[in-house]
Amino acid sequence: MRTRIKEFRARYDLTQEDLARKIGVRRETILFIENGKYIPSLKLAHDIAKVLKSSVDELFLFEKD
Amino acid sequence: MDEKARFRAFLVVIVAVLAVGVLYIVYTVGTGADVPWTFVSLLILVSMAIVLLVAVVVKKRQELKAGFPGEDERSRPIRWRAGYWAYFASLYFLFFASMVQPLLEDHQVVSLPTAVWGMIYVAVMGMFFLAALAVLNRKGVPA
Repeated sequence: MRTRIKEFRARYDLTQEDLARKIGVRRETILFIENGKYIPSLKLAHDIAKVLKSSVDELFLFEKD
Repeated sequence: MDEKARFRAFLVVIVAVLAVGVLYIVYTVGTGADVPWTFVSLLILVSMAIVLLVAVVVKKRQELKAGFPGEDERSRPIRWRAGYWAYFASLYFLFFASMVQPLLEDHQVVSLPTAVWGMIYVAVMGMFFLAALAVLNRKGVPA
């Protein structure tokens, strides 16, 4: 899984800490999601998309193995 | 205090605790007295556990103050899985210790009261828990 969270964060000038605080998760969680090492729940993905004024399928890119 | 300075201070305290333990042993051997190994090892173990606990509590407090939650959907399963691993690993340790204990006592290597074995068991479980937390934090919880 690839994500475009970093790109969207930069667009709104948000750090990982800012985003984590807005969503109510720990900073490491954002770091691991950005690196594709953790697949978030649908609710968390939706919350991230909402903060970044985007949609889930725009932020998370699932690639075939 | 930034991350690096805090880590350095933490290392200094750990080294100081170990140095005091070593100095105590050297001094005791120097005066010709028997070194109470059980007491020394427990003292070092407990001191390091206290230092570690204080560091964890301080970091947690700072995170909570900064507006981060204590745990979230990623950290919760990690903590549960680490506890699960630590519990079973320490059970294996207890099984191993119960087999080794009579041998140690027969050869007069060490003779510990049951209460001390209990404390060692709890300390080992704590160490397994911390190790499992570190591994799972890096690798993630396996499906």
